[in-house]
Order: sequence, then C-alpha cells, then structure tokens
Amino acid sequence: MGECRALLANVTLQVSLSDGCRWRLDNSGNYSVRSVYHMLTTGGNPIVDEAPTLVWHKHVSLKVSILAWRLLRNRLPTKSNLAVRGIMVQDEHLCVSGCGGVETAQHLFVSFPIFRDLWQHVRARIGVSGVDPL
Amino acid sequence: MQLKTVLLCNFYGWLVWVLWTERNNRQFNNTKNTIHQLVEKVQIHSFWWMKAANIVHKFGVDNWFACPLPCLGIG
Repeated sequence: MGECRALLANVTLQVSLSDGCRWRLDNSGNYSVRSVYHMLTTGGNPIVDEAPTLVWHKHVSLKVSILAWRLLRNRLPTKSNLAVRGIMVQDEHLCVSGCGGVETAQHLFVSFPIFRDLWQHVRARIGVSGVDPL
Repeated sequence: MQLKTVLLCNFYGWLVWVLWTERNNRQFNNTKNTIHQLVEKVQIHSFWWMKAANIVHKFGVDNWFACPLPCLGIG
C-alpha cells in the first residue's frame, strides 16, 4: 500500500488529457521491433553488463571482489536469504538496527539510513557526483 | 577501461565490504561505528590496497584522503 502511494506521489492528473499507453523505448510512444532490437544490441543495462569486468578487475582486492559478486547475485547470507534457505526462522529475519525492515541485500545496502548515507559521504569525499551504483 | 572507473569501483567495492563487516559487527559483536568512522575505513582500506597494488604514489595518506582523484592526476 505504502509502495503504491509512493509511486503515485508525483503523478499529476490533467483534465484535458485522456489516458493512454506509451512504449517508452520509442520516441513516438508506439511499439516497434526496431526499438527493442536497439535496446538489446546496445545493452539494456550498462551497470549489470559491465559489472563482471569491474568486479573482477585486478586492481580490486580479491575479498572485495568475492563479496561484491555475491552481492550482485544476491547470494550474501542476509537474514532474508537464510530464511529462504530454511536456516533461520521467518520471524527472526528483521534488520539488526531494529528499524522493523526485513534484512534483504537491498535493505542493507540501499535503504537502511546510515548505510545509505555512507554512499553519499564517500562520493562527496572523493569528489564525484552521480547516482548510487545499486 | 578508464582508470577513473576502476578507481571508483575500487572505492565502492571497499564501501560494500565495510558495510557488510559493520553489519556483522552490529549483529554478532554488539559494536557500532559512526558514519564518519565508516567513511574513514573505506578510505584507509582503499589507500592500503592502492599502495600495495603497485600504483605509483607521490603523495601521503593525507592528500589521498583529501583528494584521491587529483592525486592520481585525474578528475
């Protein structure tokens, strides 16, 4: 419910315009095979496509590479994953901070407040701007 | 691949590593670091690693912390 509300938060309804479907990959808004072909051949998601080369780069420490790889494949032993594997009881899969969220990789590395701020702090310190890589 | 991209990934990689160890410390050792301590950890670990990775360093740890990209002649 809250997720739905968040998605709709910045939608403004306009009386003069009627609803319609739009195909985002083509500027005209209509579906075309060409646009899909273009997306597939140019690599739809550059972050995921480049991830293996970046993660396994020789200038990255091996233990960091292994951790990052497990994170990208969602294979880290987060409580949520442990619960899925039947190692941990479902009721105990809450985040260690006591925020009430389920401890998934997404929660730990992206949404959890202190850890989320860390991305910004590190970016500010090394002087780059940009979006979170996850 | 550009050196800058690799460097950024190096930082982000250490960040992920620091995050995960902090999570483990909170879970199992009952200890907590502040966000500033965590930022410092990312910098220290990346510095040690870069030094060990045979990249020429003509600067000290202080410069590295203040402006890592300019230190390597980029950014």
